[in-house]
Amino acid sequence: MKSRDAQVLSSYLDGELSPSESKRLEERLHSDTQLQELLADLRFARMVLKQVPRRVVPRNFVLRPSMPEVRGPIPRSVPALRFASVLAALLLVATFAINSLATRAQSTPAAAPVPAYGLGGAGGGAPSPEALLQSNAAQAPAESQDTTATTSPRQTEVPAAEPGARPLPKEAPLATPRDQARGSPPITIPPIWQILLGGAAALFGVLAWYAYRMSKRNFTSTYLDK
Amino acid sequence: MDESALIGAAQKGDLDAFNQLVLEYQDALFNVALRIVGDQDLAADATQDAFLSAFAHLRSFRGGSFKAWLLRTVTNACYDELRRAKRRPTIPLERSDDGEKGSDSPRWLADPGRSPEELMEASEIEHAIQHCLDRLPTEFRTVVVMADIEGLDYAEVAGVIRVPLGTVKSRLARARLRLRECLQGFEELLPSSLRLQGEAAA
Repeated sequence: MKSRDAQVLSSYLDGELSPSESKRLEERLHSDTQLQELLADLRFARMVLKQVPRRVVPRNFVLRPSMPEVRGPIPRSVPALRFASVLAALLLVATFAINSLATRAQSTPAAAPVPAYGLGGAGGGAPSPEALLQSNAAQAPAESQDTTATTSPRQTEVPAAEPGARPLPKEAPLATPRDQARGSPPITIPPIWQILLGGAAALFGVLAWYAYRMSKRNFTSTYLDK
Repeated sequence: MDESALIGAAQKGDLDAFNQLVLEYQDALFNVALRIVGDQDLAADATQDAFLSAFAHLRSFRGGSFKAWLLRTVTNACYDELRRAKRRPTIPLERSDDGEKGSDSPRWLADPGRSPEELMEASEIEHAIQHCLDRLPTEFRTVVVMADIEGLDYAEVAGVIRVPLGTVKSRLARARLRLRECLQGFEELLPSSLRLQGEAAA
């Protein structure tokens, strides 16, 4: 509450309140002694700060062409080219990241479930629904191997996992949309885009450097080579 | 030549035109830098860096208040100086081994490295205010320097330090309250006229 009041009072001292806000505040000030004290504190601090003497500059800060740090105004194209270069470089990194993720996604479904086939769902971590299905199937003595083969869509993907398994019947695999999606090749960025982005990043960077150098040279020739 | 013509010429690389602007604004920039960094040498460095940077990036100035644009440049230069000073700490300003309860006592102002004449010349009130300013967080100090010492209005301060208007109001009020609290320790140093005004206001 105090900080909110202090903010309003501070703005009041600087004439930053609207006439209606000022009027409301003045009405409160008539009856609220705490608010009056707060106003006095703020007014005092403000008054003291306005007494700070201005120091005379110890020396002139004019720039001389001979100063090594002095360079001519940088052309407007330089920041734009730098930005374009950085953007192209970031996009290039993004393409590598996308391709890396796509490769990982492609390799994951083939590698992970293999140890669980017909082995009762061995393997660390939480069992997947497919592994549970496999496990249940293995524990059910009444079910034949053929039945297991028809109920597990995984076996259609890696038939070699069970050496003794018979060839699958043609009507057996009932692929779900999820499985179809897993099977489709992931989207990757063609290498040509990476080459183009890398080239653009380098080109814009070189152009920015060249424009910067030229402006520096023009400035030096104007002031120092007379 | 008026200011906009000087800026236009300086944007094309005319150093003489820019130096006329330097002469016009160096006093304001140096004083702002001095109050933010609290040290004359650091303030001079920040001011020089600000003008160097301003000339190099003059083409990014797209109208509006040139003074505000320069003040933004010097504020950034001051932040750089403060960061550099923080990385290379020197002798602490306040003495902590004298057994005094707080640092609000004016006795810490005694500087054995200064001659009596210099001490005589130094304004005690200025030192006291600077001491209190130095105790504020940098972002509070910047706002209070811009508003109360340099006399900018809230919108200009917001433009210089690129924060919303509400933030300026909040920081300024809190900075003033903290300064009031700190200045209580230096009341005997304040000119009698100021003390009387303060009492009357209370």
